[in-house]
Amino acid sequence: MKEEKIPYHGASGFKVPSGYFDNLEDHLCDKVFNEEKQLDKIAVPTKAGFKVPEAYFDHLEDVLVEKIAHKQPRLIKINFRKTFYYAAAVAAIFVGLYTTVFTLGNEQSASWDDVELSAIEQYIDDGYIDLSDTEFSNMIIEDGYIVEESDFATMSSEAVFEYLDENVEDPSFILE
Amino acid sequence: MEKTENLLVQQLKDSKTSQQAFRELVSLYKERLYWHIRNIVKNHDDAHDILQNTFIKIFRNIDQFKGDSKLFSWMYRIATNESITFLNKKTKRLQISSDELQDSIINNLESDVYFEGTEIQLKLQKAIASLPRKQQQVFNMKYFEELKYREIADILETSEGALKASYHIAVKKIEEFLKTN
Repeated sequence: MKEEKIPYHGASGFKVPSGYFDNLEDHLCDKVFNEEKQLDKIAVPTKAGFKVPEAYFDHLEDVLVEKIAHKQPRLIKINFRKTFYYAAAVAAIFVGLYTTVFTLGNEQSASWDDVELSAIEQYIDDGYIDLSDTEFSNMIIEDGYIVEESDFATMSSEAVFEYLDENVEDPSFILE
Repeated sequence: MEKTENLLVQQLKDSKTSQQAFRELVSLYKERLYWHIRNIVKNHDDAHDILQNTFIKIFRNIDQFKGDSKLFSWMYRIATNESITFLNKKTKRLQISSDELQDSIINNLESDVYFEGTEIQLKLQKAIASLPRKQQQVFNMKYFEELKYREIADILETSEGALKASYHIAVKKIEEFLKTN
Protein backbone atom coordinates (compact mmCIF):
# COMPACT_ATOMS: atom_id res chain seq x y z
CA MET A 1 0.00 0.00 0.00
CA LYS A 2 1.41 3.35 -0.95
CA GLU A 3 1.97 5.39 2.16
CA GLU A 4 0.38 8.79 1.99
CA LYS A 5 2.16 11.47 3.93
CA ILE A 6 1.02 14.94 4.66
CA PRO A 7 3.30 17.10 2.45
CA TYR A 8 5.68 19.29 4.40
CA HIS A 9 6.51 22.62 3.00
CA GLY A 10 9.47 24.35 4.59
CA ALA A 11 8.16 27.69 3.49
CA SER A 12 6.93 28.82 6.91
CA GLY A 13 10.49 29.79 7.92
CA PHE A 14 10.42 28.04 11.29
CA LYS A 15 13.40 25.93 12.37
CA VAL A 16 13.91 23.13 14.95
CA PRO A 17 16.98 22.17 16.96
CA SER A 18 19.31 19.66 15.35
CA GLY A 19 18.15 16.04 15.90
CA TYR A 20 14.95 17.20 17.56
CA PHE A 21 12.68 14.66 15.90
CA ASP A 22 15.24 11.83 16.20
CA ASN A 23 14.88 11.39 19.96
CA LEU A 24 11.35 12.66 20.41
CA GLU A 25 9.80 9.24 21.10
CA ASP A 26 12.29 8.39 23.83
CA HIS A 27 11.97 11.82 25.35
CA LEU A 28 8.19 11.65 25.48
CA CYS A 29 8.16 8.10 26.81
CA ASP A 30 10.58 9.06 29.56
CA LYS A 31 8.40 11.96 30.51
CA VAL A 32 5.18 10.01 30.51
CA PHE A 33 6.33 6.58 31.57
CA ASN A 34 9.39 7.14 33.72
CA GLU A 35 7.56 6.04 36.79
CA GLU A 36 10.73 5.05 38.56
CA LYS A 37 11.63 8.72 38.84
CA GLN A 38 8.21 9.42 40.28
CA LEU A 39 8.69 6.70 42.85
CA ASP A 40 12.20 7.95 43.63
CA LYS A 41 10.72 11.29 44.55
CA ILE A 42 8.70 9.68 47.33
CA ALA A 43 11.56 7.35 48.36
CA VAL A 44 9.88 4.07 47.54
CA PRO A 45 12.20 1.15 48.38
CA THR A 46 13.43 -1.01 45.53
CA LYS A 47 13.33 -4.21 47.61
CA ALA A 48 10.17 -5.89 48.87
CA GLY A 49 11.62 -6.84 52.26
CA PHE A 50 11.09 -10.57 51.94
CA LYS A 51 13.77 -13.03 53.05
CA VAL A 52 14.25 -16.79 52.88
CA PRO A 53 15.54 -19.37 55.36
CA GLU A 54 19.30 -19.74 55.42
CA ALA A 55 20.68 -21.86 52.56
CA TYR A 56 17.16 -22.31 51.19
CA PHE A 57 18.25 -22.27 47.56
CA ASP A 58 21.35 -24.44 48.08
CA HIS A 59 19.57 -27.81 48.14
CA LEU A 60 16.44 -27.07 46.16
CA GLU A 61 17.66 -29.08 43.16
CA ASP A 62 18.12 -32.20 45.30
CA VAL A 63 14.65 -31.82 46.85
CA LEU A 64 12.93 -31.41 43.48
CA VAL A 65 14.89 -34.16 41.69
CA GLU A 66 13.90 -36.49 44.54
CA LYS A 67 10.24 -35.58 44.00
CA ILE A 68 10.21 -36.24 40.27
CA ALA A 69 12.17 -39.43 40.72
CA HIS A 70 9.52 -40.84 43.06
CA LYS A 71 6.63 -39.15 41.24
CA GLN A 72 5.28 -37.69 44.46
CA PRO A 73 1.72 -36.37 44.22
CA ARG A 74 0.89 -32.66 44.14
CA LEU A 75 1.36 -30.93 47.46
CA ILE A 76 -1.97 -30.01 48.93
CA LYS A 77 -2.07 -28.32 52.27
CA ILE A 78 -4.62 -29.95 54.54
CA ASN A 79 -5.82 -28.25 57.61
CA PHE A 80 -5.78 -31.38 59.79
CA ARG A 81 -7.39 -29.73 62.79
CA LYS A 82 -10.39 -28.56 60.77
CA THR A 83 -10.76 -31.98 59.11
CA PHE A 84 -10.70 -33.62 62.56
CA TYR A 85 -13.41 -31.30 63.88
CA TYR A 86 -15.62 -31.97 60.86
CA ALA A 87 -15.20 -35.74 61.33
CA ALA A 88 -15.97 -35.45 65.05
CA ALA A 89 -19.12 -33.40 64.30
CA VAL A 90 -20.34 -36.00 61.81
CA ALA A 91 -19.70 -38.80 64.32
CA ALA A 92 -21.55 -36.88 67.06
CA ILE A 93 -24.55 -36.31 64.77
CA PHE A 94 -24.60 -40.01 63.89
CA VAL A 95 -24.46 -41.04 67.58
CA GLY A 96 -27.20 -38.54 68.40
CA LEU A 97 -29.41 -39.84 65.61
CA TYR A 98 -28.81 -43.44 66.60
CA THR A 99 -29.68 -42.88 70.25
CA THR A 100 -32.84 -40.92 69.43
CA VAL A 101 -34.33 -41.79 66.04
CA PHE A 102 -33.29 -45.44 65.92
CA THR A 103 -34.37 -46.21 69.46
CA LEU A 104 -37.83 -44.63 69.12
CA GLY A 105 -40.66 -47.05 69.94
CA ASN A 106 -38.47 -49.23 72.06
CA GLU A 107 -39.28 -47.43 75.24
CA GLN A 108 -41.40 -49.39 77.72
CA SER A 109 -44.44 -47.59 78.96
CA ALA A 110 -44.86 -47.38 82.65
CA SER A 111 -47.81 -49.16 84.27
CA TRP A 112 -49.37 -49.32 87.69
CA ASP A 113 -47.61 -52.64 88.22
CA ASP A 114 -44.35 -50.76 88.39
CA VAL A 115 -45.55 -48.47 91.14
CA GLU A 116 -44.55 -49.48 94.68
CA LEU A 117 -47.38 -49.68 97.24
CA SER A 118 -45.48 -47.49 99.65
CA ALA A 119 -45.35 -44.77 96.98
CA ILE A 120 -49.09 -44.97 96.50
CA GLU A 121 -49.75 -44.91 100.25
CA GLN A 122 -47.54 -41.87 100.58
CA TYR A 123 -49.36 -40.23 97.70
CA ILE A 124 -52.72 -40.83 99.41
CA ASP A 125 -51.47 -39.77 102.84
CA ASP A 126 -50.22 -36.53 101.34
CA GLY A 127 -53.81 -35.88 100.27
CA TYR A 128 -53.22 -35.90 96.52
CA ILE A 129 -56.08 -38.36 96.06
CA ASP A 130 -59.40 -38.22 97.85
CA LEU A 131 -60.16 -41.76 98.95
CA SER A 132 -62.47 -42.73 101.81
CA ASP A 133 -61.50 -45.55 104.16
CA THR A 134 -64.12 -47.79 102.59
CA GLU A 135 -62.78 -47.20 99.13
CA PHE A 136 -59.25 -47.86 100.28
CA SER A 137 -60.11 -51.01 102.14
CA ASN A 138 -61.86 -52.30 99.09
CA MET A 139 -58.56 -52.44 97.33
CA ILE A 140 -56.97 -55.83 97.46
CA ILE A 141 -53.29 -55.79 98.14
CA GLU A 142 -51.12 -58.73 97.14
CA ASP A 143 -47.34 -58.87 97.40
CA GLY A 144 -47.22 -55.11 97.92
CA TYR A 145 -49.10 -54.31 94.71
CA ILE A 146 -52.74 -53.32 94.30
CA VAL A 147 -54.73 -56.00 92.57
CA GLU A 148 -57.36 -54.54 90.30
CA GLU A 149 -60.92 -55.84 90.14
CA SER A 150 -60.56 -56.57 86.49
CA ASP A 151 -57.95 -59.17 87.31
CA PHE A 152 -60.72 -61.29 88.81
CA ALA A 153 -62.58 -61.42 85.55
CA THR A 154 -59.87 -63.59 84.06
CA MET A 155 -59.66 -65.96 87.01
CA SER A 156 -61.21 -69.37 86.62
CA SER A 157 -63.62 -70.74 89.31
CA GLU A 158 -61.28 -73.66 89.89
CA ALA A 159 -58.48 -71.28 90.84
CA VAL A 160 -60.78 -69.47 93.24
CA PHE A 161 -61.87 -72.66 95.00
CA GLU A 162 -58.26 -73.79 95.19
CA TYR A 163 -57.27 -70.53 96.80
CA LEU A 164 -60.10 -70.65 99.32
CA ASP A 165 -59.29 -74.26 100.14
CA GLU A 166 -55.70 -73.41 100.90
CA ASN A 167 -56.19 -70.15 102.69
CA VAL A 168 -59.56 -70.22 104.43
CA GLU A 169 -59.58 -72.19 107.72
CA ASP A 170 -63.30 -72.26 108.33
CA PRO A 171 -65.07 -73.75 105.34
CA SER A 172 -68.42 -72.60 106.64
CA PHE A 173 -67.75 -69.17 105.11
CA ILE A 174 -67.72 -70.68 101.68
CA LEU A 175 -70.95 -72.54 102.23
CA GLU A 176 -72.72 -69.45 103.46
CA MET B 1 20.96 -18.52 24.96
CA GLU B 2 18.22 -19.62 22.62
CA LYS B 3 20.37 -22.55 21.43
CA THR B 4 21.05 -23.54 25.05
CA GLU B 5 17.33 -23.32 25.80
CA ASN B 6 16.43 -25.57 22.85
CA LEU B 7 19.04 -28.10 23.89
CA LEU B 8 17.77 -28.05 27.46
CA VAL B 9 14.20 -28.67 26.28
CA GLN B 10 15.37 -31.59 24.13
CA GLN B 11 17.22 -33.10 27.09
CA LEU B 12 14.17 -32.66 29.32
CA LYS B 13 12.04 -34.54 26.81
CA ASP B 14 14.54 -37.41 26.58
CA SER B 15 14.03 -39.89 29.44
CA LYS B 16 17.75 -40.74 29.48
CA THR B 17 18.82 -37.18 30.17
CA SER B 18 15.67 -35.71 31.73
CA GLN B 19 16.75 -35.94 35.35
CA GLN B 20 20.06 -34.19 34.82
CA ALA B 21 18.39 -31.63 32.56
CA PHE B 22 15.77 -31.00 35.23
CA ARG B 23 18.49 -30.35 37.77
CA GLU B 24 19.99 -27.79 35.41
CA LEU B 25 16.60 -26.20 34.80
CA VAL B 26 15.99 -25.81 38.53
CA SER B 27 19.45 -24.38 39.03
CA LEU B 28 18.89 -21.80 36.27
CA TYR B 29 15.41 -20.61 37.23
CA LYS B 30 14.80 -21.44 40.90
CA GLU B 31 15.45 -17.95 42.29
CA ARG B 32 13.63 -16.02 39.61
CA LEU B 33 10.59 -18.25 39.81
CA TYR B 34 10.67 -18.27 43.60
CA TRP B 35 10.66 -14.48 43.88
CA HIS B 36 8.01 -14.19 41.22
CA ILE B 37 5.76 -16.53 43.23
CA ARG B 38 6.72 -14.92 46.53
CA ASN B 39 5.73 -11.48 45.27
CA ILE B 40 2.26 -12.86 44.58
CA VAL B 41 1.60 -14.97 47.68
CA LYS B 42 3.93 -13.09 50.12
CA ASN B 43 4.35 -16.05 52.50
CA HIS B 44 7.55 -18.18 52.24
CA ASP B 45 5.98 -21.56 53.05
CA ASP B 46 3.23 -21.04 50.47
CA ALA B 47 5.79 -19.85 47.92
CA HIS B 48 7.90 -22.96 48.59
CA ASP B 49 4.94 -25.30 48.01
CA ILE B 50 3.90 -23.49 44.84
CA LEU B 51 7.48 -23.45 43.54
CA GLN B 52 7.73 -27.21 43.92
CA ASN B 53 4.37 -27.75 42.24
CA THR B 54 5.44 -25.41 39.44
CA PHE B 55 8.67 -27.26 38.69
CA ILE B 56 6.97 -30.65 38.88
CA LYS B 57 4.27 -29.40 36.51
CA ILE B 58 6.92 -28.07 34.12
CA PHE B 59 8.73 -31.42 34.16
CA ARG B 60 5.56 -33.48 33.63
CA ASN B 61 4.25 -31.25 30.86
CA ILE B 62 7.47 -30.50 29.01
CA ASP B 63 6.21 -32.50 26.01
CA GLN B 64 3.46 -29.92 25.63
CA PHE B 65 5.97 -27.09 25.23
CA LYS B 66 6.03 -26.43 21.52
CA GLY B 67 8.54 -23.59 21.48
CA ASP B 68 5.99 -20.94 20.43
CA SER B 69 7.28 -18.76 23.23
CA LYS B 70 10.47 -18.75 25.22
CA LEU B 71 10.86 -21.50 27.81
CA PHE B 72 11.31 -18.79 30.42
CA SER B 73 7.93 -17.21 29.51
CA TRP B 74 6.17 -20.57 29.57
CA MET B 75 7.59 -21.39 33.01
CA TYR B 76 6.69 -17.97 34.38
CA ARG B 77 3.17 -18.41 33.07
CA ILE B 78 2.83 -21.73 34.89
CA ALA B 79 4.20 -20.17 38.08
CA THR B 80 1.74 -17.25 37.80
CA ASN B 81 -1.22 -19.55 37.22
CA GLU B 82 -0.24 -21.85 40.08
CA SER B 83 0.03 -18.85 42.42
CA ILE B 84 -3.34 -17.42 41.41
CA THR B 85 -4.98 -20.85 41.66
CA PHE B 86 -3.54 -21.21 45.15
CA LEU B 87 -4.97 -17.85 46.23
CA ASN B 88 -8.37 -18.59 44.69
CA LYS B 89 -8.54 -21.95 46.46
CA LYS B 90 -7.63 -20.26 49.74
CA THR B 91 -10.49 -17.75 49.41
CA LYS B 92 -12.93 -20.60 48.75
CA ARG B 93 -11.61 -22.65 51.66
CA LEU B 94 -11.80 -19.71 54.07
CA GLN B 95 -15.05 -18.46 52.49
CA ILE B 96 -13.78 -14.91 52.20
CA SER B 97 -13.35 -12.51 49.30
CA SER B 98 -10.01 -12.03 47.56
CA ASP B 99 -9.81 -8.50 49.03
CA GLU B 100 -10.26 -9.92 52.52
CA LEU B 101 -7.58 -12.51 51.81
CA GLN B 102 -5.17 -9.81 50.63
CA ASP B 103 -5.83 -7.83 53.82
CA SER B 104 -5.23 -10.94 55.90
CA ILE B 105 -1.96 -11.73 54.12
CA ILE B 106 -0.67 -8.19 54.50
CA ASN B 107 -1.69 -8.03 58.16
CA ASN B 108 0.29 -11.21 58.81
CA LEU B 109 3.40 -9.79 57.16
CA GLU B 110 4.40 -7.71 60.12
CA SER B 111 4.74 -10.77 62.32
CA ASP B 112 6.18 -12.98 59.55
CA VAL B 113 9.70 -14.16 60.44
CA TYR B 114 10.63 -14.10 56.77
CA PHE B 115 9.71 -10.47 56.32
CA GLU B 116 12.38 -8.05 57.44
CA GLY B 117 10.90 -5.01 55.76
CA THR B 118 10.94 -1.51 57.15
CA GLU B 119 7.80 0.49 57.80
CA ILE B 120 7.91 1.97 54.31
CA GLN B 121 8.37 -1.49 52.76
CA LEU B 122 5.34 -2.74 54.65
CA LYS B 123 3.39 0.30 53.52
CA LEU B 124 4.46 -0.39 49.95
CA GLN B 125 3.12 -3.96 50.24
CA LYS B 126 -0.19 -2.55 51.50
CA ALA B 127 -0.25 -0.16 48.56
CA ILE B 128 0.39 -2.98 46.10
CA ALA B 129 -2.32 -5.11 47.75
CA SER B 130 -4.82 -2.29 47.13
CA LEU B 131 -4.33 -2.61 43.35
CA PRO B 132 -6.36 -4.87 41.06
CA ARG B 133 -4.68 -8.24 40.57
CA LYS B 134 -3.42 -7.57 37.04
CA GLN B 135 -1.85 -4.27 38.08
CA GLN B 136 -0.21 -5.99 41.04
CA GLN B 137 1.35 -8.56 38.71
CA VAL B 138 2.60 -5.95 36.26
CA PHE B 139 4.00 -3.77 39.02
CA ASN B 140 5.80 -6.65 40.76
CA MET B 141 7.29 -7.96 37.52
CA LYS B 142 8.44 -4.55 36.35
CA TYR B 143 9.50 -2.97 39.62
CA PHE B 144 10.84 -5.79 41.77
CA GLU B 145 11.72 -8.44 39.20
CA GLU B 146 12.97 -5.87 36.65
CA LEU B 147 11.57 -7.70 33.66
CA LYS B 148 11.30 -5.90 30.33
CA TYR B 149 7.89 -5.00 28.96
CA ARG B 150 8.52 -7.38 26.07
CA GLU B 151 9.12 -10.24 28.50
CA ILE B 152 6.09 -9.36 30.64
CA ALA B 153 3.95 -9.15 27.50
CA ASP B 154 5.08 -12.66 26.55
CA ILE B 155 4.34 -14.05 30.01
CA LEU B 156 0.95 -12.41 30.49
CA GLU B 157 0.06 -12.72 26.80
CA THR B 158 -0.92 -9.11 26.49
CA SER B 159 0.38 -6.13 24.51
CA GLU B 160 3.29 -3.97 25.59
CA GLY B 161 1.15 -0.85 25.27
CA ALA B 162 -1.47 -2.22 27.64
CA LEU B 163 1.27 -3.16 30.08
CA LYS B 164 2.83 0.28 29.99
CA ALA B 165 -0.54 1.87 30.67
CA SER B 166 -1.24 -0.63 33.45
CA TYR B 167 2.13 0.04 35.09
CA HIS B 168 1.68 3.80 34.80
CA ILE B 169 -1.71 3.63 36.54
CA ALA B 170 -0.30 1.30 39.22
CA VAL B 171 2.50 3.71 40.01
CA LYS B 172 0.07 6.62 40.28
CA LYS B 173 -2.14 4.69 42.67
CA ILE B 174 0.81 3.61 44.80
CA GLU B 175 2.08 7.15 44.93
CA GLU B 176 -1.33 8.35 46.07
CA PHE B 177 -1.63 5.58 48.66
CA LEU B 178 1.76 6.34 50.19
CA LYS B 179 1.03 10.03 50.37
CA THR B 180 -2.35 9.61 52.03
CA ASN B 181 -1.50 6.77 54.43
